Amino acid sequence: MNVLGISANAQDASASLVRDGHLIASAHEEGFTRQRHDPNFPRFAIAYCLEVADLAPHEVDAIAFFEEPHARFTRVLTQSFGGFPATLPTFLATMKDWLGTRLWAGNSISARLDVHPDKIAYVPRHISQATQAFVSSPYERAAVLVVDSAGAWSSTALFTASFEDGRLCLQEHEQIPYPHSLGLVQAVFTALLGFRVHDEEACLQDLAAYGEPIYTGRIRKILSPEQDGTYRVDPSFFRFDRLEVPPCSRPWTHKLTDLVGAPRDARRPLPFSTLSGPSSRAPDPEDQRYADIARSLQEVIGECLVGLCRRLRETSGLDRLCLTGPLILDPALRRRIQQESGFTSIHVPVDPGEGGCSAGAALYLDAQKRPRTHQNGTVTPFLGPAFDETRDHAALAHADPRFWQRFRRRGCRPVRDVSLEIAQAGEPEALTGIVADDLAAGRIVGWFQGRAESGPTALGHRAILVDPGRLHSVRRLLDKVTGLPAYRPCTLLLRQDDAGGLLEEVPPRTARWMPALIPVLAEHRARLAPALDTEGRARVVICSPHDSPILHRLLDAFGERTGVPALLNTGLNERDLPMAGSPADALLVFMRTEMDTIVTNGLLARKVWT
Amino acid sequence: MAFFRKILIRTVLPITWRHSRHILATRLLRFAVTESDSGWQILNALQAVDDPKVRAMVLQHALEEIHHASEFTRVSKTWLSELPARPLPERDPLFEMEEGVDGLVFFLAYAHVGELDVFDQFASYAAGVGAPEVADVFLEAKLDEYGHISLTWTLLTSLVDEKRARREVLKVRGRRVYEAWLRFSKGIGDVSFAVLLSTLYLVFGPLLWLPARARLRWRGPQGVAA
Repeated sequence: MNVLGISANAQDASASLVRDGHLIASAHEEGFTRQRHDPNFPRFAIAYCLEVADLAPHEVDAIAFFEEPHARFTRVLTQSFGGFPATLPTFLATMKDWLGTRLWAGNSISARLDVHPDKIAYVPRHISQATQAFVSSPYERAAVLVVDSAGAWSSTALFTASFEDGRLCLQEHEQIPYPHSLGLVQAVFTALLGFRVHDEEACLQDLAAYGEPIYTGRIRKILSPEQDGTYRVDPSFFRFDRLEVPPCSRPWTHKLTDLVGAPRDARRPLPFSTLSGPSSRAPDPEDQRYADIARSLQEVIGECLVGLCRRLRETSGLDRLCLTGPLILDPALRRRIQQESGFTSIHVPVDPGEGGCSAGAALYLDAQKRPRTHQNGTVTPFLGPAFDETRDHAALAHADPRFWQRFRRRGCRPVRDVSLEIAQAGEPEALTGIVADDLAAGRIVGWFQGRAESGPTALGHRAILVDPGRLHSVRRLLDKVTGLPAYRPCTLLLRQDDAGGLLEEVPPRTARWMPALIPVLAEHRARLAPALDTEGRARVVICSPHDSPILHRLLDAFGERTGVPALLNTGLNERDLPMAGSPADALLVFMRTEMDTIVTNGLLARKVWT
Repeated sequence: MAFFRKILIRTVLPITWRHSRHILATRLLRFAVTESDSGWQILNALQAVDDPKVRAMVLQHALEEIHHASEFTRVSKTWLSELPARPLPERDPLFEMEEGVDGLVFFLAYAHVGELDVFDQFASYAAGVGAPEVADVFLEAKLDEYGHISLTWTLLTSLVDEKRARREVLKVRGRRVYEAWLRFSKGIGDVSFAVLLSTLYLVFGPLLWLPARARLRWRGPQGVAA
């Protein structure tokens, strides 16, 4: 039985395919269209999923859409009329979108794929999220907490889930209704601090590491954790209707700016940095205020989440938890929940954001249609497309790097005196040997291997790798390749076997797909400094020999050369673009930036500076 | 038509652009989206090209378009204290509109006409924009578009004879006029739709305001029946 899951029209369109209870393909549309967080109908992702399963659209047994559009539409309409008459502009913009496309998602799928409408089912959004979290976990029975921004009417949902007689049983205990939403509050503060909403929430989370929680008292007036473990939002501080319309401009009222101060100008660079050495300028009180607000918000949201987890633990009587929702992408919040919630074991799915809902919807529909056995958390994070790179590398042999000069990122080193060295590495040992030498010599390496990551985190298949001990290379990576702000630490990639020698704690099982915030042993902090936050913690991703055998071997070879088998890892992309979806995309990053080496599967291209 | 557009760009646009940073930044971002779409279309068409030399040329062409997109984005960001909306249009591969070699021929003809139009327009925009740093970006892009005009024509005539190539270009021009008409009609439709919706909002708003407020009021966590 084949079930296609689709998530579209919101923030991250994606498609997934479940065959006989197993997720076999999952991809975000952005990987095919070069548009970060592409919300459009995922035609390319669907085509990819069908290609993996070798199916035509009419051969799919059922199609699951990740939410109930009419339920969400009712909520949007209520929100618009509740704010009458100030909501007229957002009402016009949202209705154009909803009445034009979003409300007719089923018809649109039916027409585009030429399938009978009876095959299409709407799965409630939180059910999609909860199913994705639970089915990918190793648990037979668990509590599930969904912390969303706003789907239909509920913003947070508390479930228990189990497999009974081969059937998936999801029981929703409680929900906290819109507009009392932690995700929406975080989105408003994202905009207030000058970041792009539904995109740069991670910047807000990383900025928090440089602040002190001195605004928590004020933020509790807006978002108050209650004694019973729930929380409450005061909507008079917000204009949530504006979050429905890009660019989500000024989604607050004057009450919020009176309380925490003026918003940040998006053009103002923040001077915080994970790298030691001279910064562009010292943080002034205004910069510090932004960091303090971010930290205080993280603190209060953390309190709310811990309260919810404790409440769920009491009501369910279970000691295993599955956590999902975009907020869970913050590693500091996950760590706090791990330490304070009282649950003995916590699972987070590969893609807790909106993109993961397509997989959840498909898994749910599959579980409703046929009995299944639990798959014991064997879901792999690499379910995206793989490519043959031969033709692109053949083309690269005919390219003239001097021609790229004018089209490179501003400030990059000139390529006038560069030549290209292109080689087929042959055996994995030879490839990993060359790349480990390059990394140890301080070169920046683009790494494109096998199937793409199906979640939002770079896990080493579409990655840029650097030796963390080379400060100059890390600076070049941030300034001349990714364009990421220096206050955002890259993840630290290492093998499970090496974790004991580098970290103070054993990384959780989920660190294979979701970076875990773990303190680094004091003796290694100097060498791994660029990967550490202000408290000496790194965002650790574990490379498994089963998922990524060549990368695993590369870590081994790199460890032999430097003594520390750990690499800095970030997504293979420039700022504001999604991770490279094809070898040609990866080559464009190589051509446009100061990346020194690019590896696409078995092929290798190196810039040789003369 | 092109003549009137040039006049319009050189007279009316500078007035609006110089008086509203928001309009200028939004417009620049739209150019970025168009250039980025061109880059993507080229990368997408790359799958039909086998000759490594041609692939290298096409890849470098994509590099230029992507560079233009990033330059337009960069200058647009310098004009605003708030980040503007980033349009994310649905990708529609031109290359897949026709089967086999015809797909590539159509794509190259379309790209050729597009480059010709943009070459003309960018010169006018550079003259009218009134901000030197933005004019520089237009002029740089214009210079590259000149190269693209000859590249697309060379590739097109390597696939079909010159007579067929001219016919394809004419066909594309007809199609672009039709697309412009569709855009104009959609604009008219959008305005009428907005008027209708505003009326409905203003008529029903006062009636629905109280029930909507009641529905949004805090009532504590909601228990869900099993």
